[in-house]
Parts: sequence; C-alpha cells; structure tokens
Amino acid sequence: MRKRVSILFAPGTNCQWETMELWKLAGAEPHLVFLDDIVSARVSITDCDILFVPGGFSYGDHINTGTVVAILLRDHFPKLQEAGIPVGGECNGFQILMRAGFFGRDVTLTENDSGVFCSRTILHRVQASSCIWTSGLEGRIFAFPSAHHGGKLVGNTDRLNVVMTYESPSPNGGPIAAICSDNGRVFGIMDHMTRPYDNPDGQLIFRSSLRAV
Amino acid sequence: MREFQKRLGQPYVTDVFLETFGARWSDHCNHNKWKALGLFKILKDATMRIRNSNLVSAFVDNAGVWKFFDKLVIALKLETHCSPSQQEPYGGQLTKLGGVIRDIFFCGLGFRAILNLELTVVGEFVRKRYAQLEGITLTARRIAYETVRAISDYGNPMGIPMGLARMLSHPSFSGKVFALGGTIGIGREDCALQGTPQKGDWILMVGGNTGNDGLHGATVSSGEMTTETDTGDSCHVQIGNPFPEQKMGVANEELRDAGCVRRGNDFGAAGIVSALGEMGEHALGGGGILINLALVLLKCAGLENWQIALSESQERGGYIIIREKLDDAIAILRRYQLESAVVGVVTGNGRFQMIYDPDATELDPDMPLTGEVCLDVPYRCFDECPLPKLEIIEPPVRTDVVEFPYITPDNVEEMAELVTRHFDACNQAWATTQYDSTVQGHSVQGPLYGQAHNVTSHLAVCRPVYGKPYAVTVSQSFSPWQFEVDPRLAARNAMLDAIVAQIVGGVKRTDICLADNFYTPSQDPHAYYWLDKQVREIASLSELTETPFISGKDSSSGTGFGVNVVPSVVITAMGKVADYRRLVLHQWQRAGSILLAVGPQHRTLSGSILSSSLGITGTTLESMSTEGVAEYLDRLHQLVTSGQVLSAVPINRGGMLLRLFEGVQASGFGVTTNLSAELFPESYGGALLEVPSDAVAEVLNDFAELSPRVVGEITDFPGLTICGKQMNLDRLAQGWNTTFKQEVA
Repeated sequence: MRKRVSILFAPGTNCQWETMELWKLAGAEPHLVFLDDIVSARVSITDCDILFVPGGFSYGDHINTGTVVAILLRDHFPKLQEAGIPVGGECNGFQILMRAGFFGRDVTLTENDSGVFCSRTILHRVQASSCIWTSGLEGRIFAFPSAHHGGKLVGNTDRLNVVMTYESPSPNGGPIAAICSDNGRVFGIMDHMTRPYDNPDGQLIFRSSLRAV
Repeated sequence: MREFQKRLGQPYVTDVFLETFGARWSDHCNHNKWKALGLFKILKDATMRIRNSNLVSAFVDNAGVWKFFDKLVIALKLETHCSPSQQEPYGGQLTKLGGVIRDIFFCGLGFRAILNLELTVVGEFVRKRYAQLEGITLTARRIAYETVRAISDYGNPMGIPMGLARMLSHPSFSGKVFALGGTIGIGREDCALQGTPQKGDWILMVGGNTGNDGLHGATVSSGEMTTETDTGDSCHVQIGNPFPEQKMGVANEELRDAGCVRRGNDFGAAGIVSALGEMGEHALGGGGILINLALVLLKCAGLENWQIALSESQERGGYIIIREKLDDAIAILRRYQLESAVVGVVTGNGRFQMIYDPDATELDPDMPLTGEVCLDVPYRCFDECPLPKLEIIEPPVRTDVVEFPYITPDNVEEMAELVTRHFDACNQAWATTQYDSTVQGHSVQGPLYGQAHNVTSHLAVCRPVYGKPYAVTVSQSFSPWQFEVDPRLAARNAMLDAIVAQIVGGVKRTDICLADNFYTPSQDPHAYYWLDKQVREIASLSELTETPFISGKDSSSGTGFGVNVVPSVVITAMGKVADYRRLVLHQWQRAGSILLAVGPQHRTLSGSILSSSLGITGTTLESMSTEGVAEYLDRLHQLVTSGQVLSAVPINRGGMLLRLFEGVQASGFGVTTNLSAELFPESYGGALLEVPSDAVAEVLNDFAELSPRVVGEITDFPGLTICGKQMNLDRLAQGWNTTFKQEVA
C-alpha cells in the first residue's frame, strides 16, 4: 500500500506541483493539505504517514521567512512529534520548520552572505548521520538547484545532526546544506530535491523516508 | 465630449463619465495611433491569411493562444511598462511583471503561468550623447539595479520560472527606459476561449482591495514623459504585490476546473472601467453590465467614485461567474484566503452602467438605477473614438559615410575584447541568477547555460506537462544598435533571428508563433514612417514564413525628456516540440567537432556590438533576402534534425566572435579558427552548428543551399585561437565578467 504523504499548502506556497510529482515517482500517495483546514480543525495534521512542507514564500515572507505559518501551526506541529510522523521541509518549508523550533532555538536560517537570491545548480554531499531521509545514501553527491535568499544556517551549528554539506560553492555562504532533528525524523534542506520533478537524487531521498515508515 | 453629451441626452456628466471615456479612448486602451495608420489590421490580416492549424486565438484575448499536445494549449503575452519604470524603477518593474503574469491568468477561462521573460533596455551609463539629462532623470545604473531587484522580488514569489532574461543599454533609452516583460501559460483547449456572459451572471472582484493608487495609468502612459509627470500624476502606478497575486493564480485554475467562470479579466489600465467594462461588452444581447461601486472592497476611506472606477491593480481580478456557481466560487476563493465581493450583474441591456448605492446590496439585472448614477451609456458609444490625423514623413536618405577599422590577426584580440566587454554582450549572471529559473520543476534550459551557469541562452525550454516530454520553446530578439541604423531591416533581422533560434533547436517552422512589442517615439517626425515600414515588413515576413503573430502590444509614447527612443520592435517566438530530448541545444558536446556557419554571411559592421563599442553607428544594415525564406528555414530544420548536428546557436548579437567565446566559456573546450574579420559582422538569420568531423563533407555537400562554411574546430585545450594566434582568454573574460557588475551591482 502506498504511503500517504501530506503536502502542506499555505498561502504563498509555490512548489507544490513539482513536490507532488516527485513523491508520486518515489512511490507515495501525496495529497495537498490546506493550512486553513488544519488551523480550523477540519483536517488533522497527523492524518498521514509523512508530512512534507514544500517551498515558496508563505505569507509573502512577511514578518520573516516561515514565521507566520510556524505561529499558526504552533499547536499542531507538536502532534507530529508525539505521533512519530516524519517531517520534511524544503526551502521555505525548512524555514517554517526552523521557526517552529524543530531544530532547537539556538540555530536559525539567515540571509545569504551575498545578500541576494541565488538560483543555480548545487552539488551536495550526504554525510553520515542518523537521518531516516538519507539512510544508506551516505557519501553520495547529489545535484539539485538552490533558489533562496535566506538559507545560511547560523548559531550553535556544532551540535547539529548534519545531513548534507555543500560540495560546490555554497549558495548562501554557509557550509551546511541539510540537517535533521536529533531523533533523525525531521529533515530540513534549503535546496530543491524536487527539481526537476523527476530528479533521481530527490527520489532516492524520498524513498529512504518512505522505507522508514 | 459636450457634443457627445448632447447626443446622449444627458443633462450633466459625472467624473466617472469623463474618466471612463478618457481611459477607453486613450492610446493605451484604444490604440488610436495604430488604428489611424491601419497597422493593427495589417498584422491581424496576415495572421488570418496564414491559416496555421495551431492557431486558437490571436489579438482577441489577454494573450495569444496556440495548440499544444493532448488537448492542451499554450499562451503567449508580453507587455511594456516603460513610463512607470522610468519614474520609479523598482515599483514600475515589479508591476510590469505582475501585470503580464496576470494577463496569462486571465486568458480564456484561466491559464497557469509557466515561464517568465525579461528584457530591459536602459540608457547610457555615462551620459555622452545626452549630457543634458544629468541630474534630471535617474541614472541607468539606478534603473538597472532596481530592475534586477524588482524582477527577483516579484518573479520569485510568484513561483514562475524565468525563461529568458537580458539587459541592454543604448543612449536613446536614456529619457525613457524600455521595460518589457513576458509570460507563457498553459491551459485546457476546452477552456481556451472566453465565454459569453449571460443575463444574471454575477460580477465578482477578487484579490487586492481598491485604493487611491493606479489612477490614470492608461492616460499617463499614453503621453510623453516630462518633468511634470512625477508631480501631476504621482499615483498613476499601482505597485504590485505578488503575495495575493500568486494566490489568485492558483485559485484561478481551480475556479476554471470547477466550471465557475464565464469570463475573466485583469485589473490593468483603467481598473473597473476596462476590466469589468470590457467583459460586459461581450454579454449576450449586445453587452450590458451594472456595477455598484459601493460594493467594491476598499483599502482606504474617502475614495471618490471615479477613483474606485479607475483604480488599477496587479493582484486584483474580475470574473463573470455563472449565476448558479457563485457559492462554489466563493468557497474556492476562501480556501486560498482571497477576499472577493460581488459588485455587479450582467444585464444584457446594451449599456455600461455604474451606480453608487450602499443600500443596493441585492443586485438584479432588471433593477432600476438607484443611488448616485455615475455612468449610463450605450456600449456602442465607445466605438466612436475620434482618431488622430497622423502624417507619415519620410526621413532623408542618409549619405554619411563611415569607416570601420580593418580587422587583422594583429588587432583581432583588441576587437574581440571590445565585444566581450560590451554591456549587451557581457556576463549578466549576477542578475540572472537572482531569478528563480527552476521552480515548478519543468525547466530544461533556462536563461543561462554552461559549466559555470553564466552564458545567456537563446532558447528557453520547458516541459510543463508532468510525465510527458512535450516542450515549449521560447526565443526573443532585439538589438537597439541595429534599430538605430535601419529600423525596418532591423525588424526583419530580429524576426529572422527569433525564428532561427527555434529552427536550429529543432522546432518545425509551422509550430512557431510570434509576438511583437513595438516601442515608438512620440516626438520623432519620422516615427510613423518607420512604424508603418516595420509593421509591413514583419507582416510580410510572417506570411512568407507562415509563422503568425498571435499577440502584440504597441507603445507609441517612447519619448522622455525630449529624447526619442529608436523606433523599436522586439520579436518573441514561441514553439512546441513533442519530445524535448530531441532538441539541439547550445552547449558544445565534444572536442574534434567542426563548427559550421550556415545562412547569410554579412560583411558590414553597421549595427553590430563592435560598431557600438567603436562609437560608430553605421549607415547601411544588411539583412537576409526574404526570397525563399521558408525553404531556407525548412532546409535548416532538416539539417538540424538529421542527427548530424550536436549543438547549435543562432548568430546574432556579437556575431560569431561572441558565439565562439561563449562556447569556450560554457563548455570548457577550446576552439581554433582561421577567420578574423569575418567573426564580427552579425549575420542575423544564420547559425553556428557543431558537426562531427566525419559528417562535415556530407553536410557541405548535401546542404549546399544553406551556404555552409567551416568556421573552426573544437579542441580539448580551453582557449580561443584565431589565425594561429592564441587569444589571451583571461583578458577577454575579464571584460566579459566585470562589465555588468561594474555598471550595475
């Protein structure tokens, strides 16, 4: 049976199409879940095997990247952890998870060193970690594009469960490309595994998470 | 207007009445100059005569529509936003992109935007030709910098990949910038055409609320820009907001698929007057709508009725919703957190009516006009716009003689550097990488290519149907230096170039359609002469090549602070192929391949990048003969799809020299050539092809009518060798890499 993957759609989300397609190719059954439906309790955030938060500019990046969604779902996100449901976030999705505190309060994502948006293909090296999203992929070099202007990971990064590092020049100035929560289930990455929508490297990552559930 | 008022038997006129006619009869909305010259008809008639079976609609909707595959259609639209972008570049350029995207959303019953196009031509960075503008207008640097910021800040949140992006510079755009944006869309064939509003249908406004901004955009943009523009009409540009517009785009598709929409329109120039007024014109029974301005959602208090009627917005849309589908439509909009309000009803009584009555919340198509009657006129009145009398004055024949330097192997490196460091030719990756080119996950070739992702593409390719290999291809051509020499032949060259960029990619001639975007000076006595010649030229070539124009826009107010733009037209081509994997793209594939040039072999440097660098305008432009052009294009297509061509690029801006340099930059290979002076003329309509060495003889023999000639050989060593002399690649790259950053960043 195909695993159910909820793709969170907040106003301003703009990567839902390619994300849905890649999950399908990875063998899952993805469906869009509207933020408004979760907030108004029409839908439960835990009604899935995996929750994935795609990229975009949720709420126009107003206040700060990802902040509005993190606040609106502050009572709902903890339910995922209680249920042990894996969570993934890409680009703005990662920013939302970061603002929601999934990775601790002593790290954050800030503006790229260049001060501008960076759209180009980047190479990523998968590091050895406890992350279920990259299990068995350690040492692989993955290519997919960056498309962000606020993706530099700063703070107490020494304690982080680092999943990927940049293998080509960093788009944001920092060395870390992807991280995971200490329990290995919540995964955040700035760059887009879902581009192109049939990206074989992205499929490997998604399949790894599907195997874990 | 007084005579008109008498004929209508109206004892008084309101501000709404005057503003409605002011907008509807402006050049921006009514294209008065084009109508007076009979030009619109020339292009439309050419398109109709071609009878291309791919054509779905042309010049009747917010975008032109072209058949794709599997009952899908694609749409093409470009629009200028020059006046606002000159005044306040950040807001102007934001709004330019927001405006053209929304044209795609509101084409037919709703399209998805899948690709953006960006072209901006700024003035001279150092004021040499127009020193008098110093301190009066914004600098080219400021306009360019703000343009990059704006396109990034608007395009990226919209979630639409950038397809092609380029910035050019020419002195004649110092008084008024050329700000052109474009968007490609995809939709369903069964929803490709707008419907006919029925009596009782609801008129719904969606998205951003109405304010005291975006007032007089149509009328201001129809006039010349002066030092008074800023103070007289400072609020004529609404500054777009991508957040609500992006939501509107996604919801728009759902409204379409739920069968709610009879018709949709954007809130471009003249707000309700045009967006809702135009839709009402198509209602069954000769048109007819009633709008209650009191029901419009406002974002600030104290607005006059004419302001509510006229306010424009990029993130506001208007729909005619099928009467029984209103609840479904509102439920969809709420899901996307979009505000909406029913503001009117289709009456079918042949009249455009606007009232202000806060008590009239229940609208009925047969209700009497209540409250304050702001407008009540028959639709047919709008057809009676008086057209200007325009005189076509032929310019004197140019007799000046110019002399170009003789190019030899001894000075070829110096000349090459003049090309690579030219603003129009240089590496603009600093800007282009700020535009998201991969969102939606379907990009095949974006605005940049090459190992270092820094060489400008001539063909954007995407495969917008997930799981299918169908591709949309887009090319665009414009070089202001060509238009300065001969606006008519430059138009031909631009059109040939845009088409050839598609053909050498592997797109069939009859699968290509076109868009024209004219930018004509308003104070040049010869402007209409050139405009007339240009339109006739491209219409004729359109018929010869059977590539129809399906969309276009004219801006006839290209004069700013007394400076006339060169009479310009940008040609954009859109094509389709069944399998993107069969396309021949730009990047060199292997060492040992031979580079062949095909097509015209021009001799003059007039209108070239090198002539611009040398400060020489030139007097006579060369252009390929149009005789047998269709056969030429078909033969070129046969060659490219024969399996003997590994990579291909059109020869345009910068000539073969720039193509060789870019080839080295993109591939990491080198090239050696025995040509020198021949590398610099810009042979628009020609192409540079990479052919395996063992296939060269066959190509030279079998395709002799394409005038194939050997240019050089691709080598393992990453350098550029001309006539046995190794060019200093670092020197050429230094100028190429630094010009844009020095001028703009």
